[in-house]
Amino acid sequence: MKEKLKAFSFLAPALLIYIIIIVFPGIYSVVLSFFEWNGVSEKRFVGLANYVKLFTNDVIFRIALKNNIIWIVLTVCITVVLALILALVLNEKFTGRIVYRSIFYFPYMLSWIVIGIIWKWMYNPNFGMINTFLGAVGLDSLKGSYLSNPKIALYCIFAAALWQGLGQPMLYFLAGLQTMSSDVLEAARIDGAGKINLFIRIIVPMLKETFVIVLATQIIASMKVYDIIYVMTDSGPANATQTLATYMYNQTFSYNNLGMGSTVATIMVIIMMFIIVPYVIFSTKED
Amino acid sequence: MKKRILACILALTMTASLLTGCGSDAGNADSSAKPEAAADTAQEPEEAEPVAEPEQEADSGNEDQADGEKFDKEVTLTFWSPTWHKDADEQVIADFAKLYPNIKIEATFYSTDDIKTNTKVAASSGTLPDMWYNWGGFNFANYYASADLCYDLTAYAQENGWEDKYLKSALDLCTLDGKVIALPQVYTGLVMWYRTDILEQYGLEVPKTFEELENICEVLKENGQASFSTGGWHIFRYLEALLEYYAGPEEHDALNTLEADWASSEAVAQAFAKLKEWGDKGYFIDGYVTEDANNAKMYVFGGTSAMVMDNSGMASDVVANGYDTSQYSFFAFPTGKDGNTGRISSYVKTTQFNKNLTDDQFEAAMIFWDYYYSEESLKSHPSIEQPTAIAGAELSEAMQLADGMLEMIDAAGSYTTTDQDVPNEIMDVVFATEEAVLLGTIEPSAAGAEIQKAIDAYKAASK
Repeated sequence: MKEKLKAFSFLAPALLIYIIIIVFPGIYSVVLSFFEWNGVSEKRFVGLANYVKLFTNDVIFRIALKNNIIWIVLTVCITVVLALILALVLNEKFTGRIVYRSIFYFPYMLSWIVIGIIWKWMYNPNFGMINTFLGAVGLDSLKGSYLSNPKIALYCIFAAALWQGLGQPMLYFLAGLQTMSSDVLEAARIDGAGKINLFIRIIVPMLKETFVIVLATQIIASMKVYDIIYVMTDSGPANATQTLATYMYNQTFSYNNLGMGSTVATIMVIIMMFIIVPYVIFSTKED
Repeated sequence: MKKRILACILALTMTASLLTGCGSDAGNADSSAKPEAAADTAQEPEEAEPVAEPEQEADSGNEDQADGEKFDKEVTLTFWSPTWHKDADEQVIADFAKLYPNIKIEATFYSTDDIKTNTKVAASSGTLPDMWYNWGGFNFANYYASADLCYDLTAYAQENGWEDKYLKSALDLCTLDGKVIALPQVYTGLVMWYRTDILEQYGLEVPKTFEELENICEVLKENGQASFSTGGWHIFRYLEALLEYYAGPEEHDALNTLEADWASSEAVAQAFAKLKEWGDKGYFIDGYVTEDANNAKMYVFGGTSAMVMDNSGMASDVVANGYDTSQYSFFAFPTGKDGNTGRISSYVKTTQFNKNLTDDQFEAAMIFWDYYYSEESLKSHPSIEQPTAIAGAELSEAMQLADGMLEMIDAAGSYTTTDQDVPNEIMDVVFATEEAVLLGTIEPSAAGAEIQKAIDAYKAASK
């Protein structure tokens, strides 16, 4: 009992801060989603009207939701897979692997704003590196205003995000790989497991906990993607790169619709729960 | 089982942190200039910087001490100002402190986005500063006035002759329903800045009519030269001028006040069609749809584009960046017909005051702003943003390129820059629609209907 009290007393300050900074604003945000409020007037209770309006009568919200789903799929299929491949390669012993690890991790240390500015300049149709390079190698037909094309703008931003975002999951996977017992891998090899079998039957199952962390953090980050879009296209052209986070910001601070902004935030959380909670339950089932 | 529950709780916790997005630190300065107001200029965002109280020097002259003795109450005023005012504000505050040691001005500086966001957050939480910088119009100054959060300056303005002191159009933009809701600071308009050397190179003269302007664009295009520099929301500056040209003052005003129907307006369709035509003909720089609006001037500085629609700030940018001032000048976008210049889009930047100021605080605030824009202060602080809204004020040396702009606006007449006066949710639809038209996903003739839909939805929600 004394031990428990001691533990609680150590945790209490952090818990208090957490409640004040995270829990209370979170709950308050959910409450606000049931109101119409411009931030300074009297709040007006509207029940589920904000939710109904978003799903039935808001084209931009639907574009934003679709873009977030695309971003999540791209993250899971490309970022996570590439990060795993990189981690596997960089876990091998070869000269200069520390340097390579640093090179791949370095972009992660930069802020989204910096990444956005760098890539925006690279994509610049007039002075950008990409068009200049294409011109230099004779591929003038491929030159273009990439970020101005609504069909590919989101994917162009994702390419920039990928460059930045590989470092963190790669590091997690690398950490997971390095905690693996070499005896198990050695035993599998002695038993005749080839590289593919070793990867599918031994490495992936043993990285299960790492996968939980990587997928959870990556999906949450995908749902919150904001800064890089804000810098590179500001949700344009013609809302083609609008996401839930940018739309939430606009509703809250640009249009003074705090109720609607909170509704978008709440929907983001609900979507996250639908994706992550079943995944966590499923992946920890055997434990 | 315990492990599963713990894992679920951790996942939920991480997810729940999303919710705090709405209420999170609004002062996060990790943002670039928000294209919310076309009326704004390119300014580098910086983090909020509380300013140390200016040192009060003991060697003030007798005259200065006498000024200070006129105000013998101890007053502190908190003030939120944009980062691009930092140099000027700090100098003025320091010099003011020598004159009025009893009045302490505590300034905090925010980037363009942050000052807009933070004042709104402060308004909703009842923590507004005593004075805050703001833009005029519906989305900005009027927001605080409508919520009865700012000081009614009407009586003070009448008693102190603001009608003579400030430019009429600037003061009008600070007036809502007959009440003066803000102190006008800067008054400027959107004109066409051009490279004199480029026009000379092709034997072109400053256009006086719309047709002449189009002729210039055609000649420049034939010579592989972009005419107009723009980007993102900045494109609207051209559309706004086209709307003024096709609709004329009366209909344009009715469109901006949301009284006229955008869907059925012939002028709206014509303006969008012309914008699309200019886009298709390559009159704008490459990649203009998503180019950063703040980079628009850069293409003119670099000679990639011959013209850019911008405000008076262009003058100081030319000087500050060391460009040859003889290569730059401006003209009014010809929005009139029958040889008239036509009205010019203009806007005001202001300071608003907290409704809860005490009498002493208000008096001190007025003393401060009288000093800020006094002849003496404008002379000794050339970094004060110009052109000021003070009638007859002289421009600083760095702003000489803009000399004559206010007179030109006065002579031609003006209308409030649209995005200062039209609600943001409608403006965002206008921006998106113009991009869709330029990209060919919406016909110019259908653009008005898209915007009208947003206006109808806004009106319905406002009821």
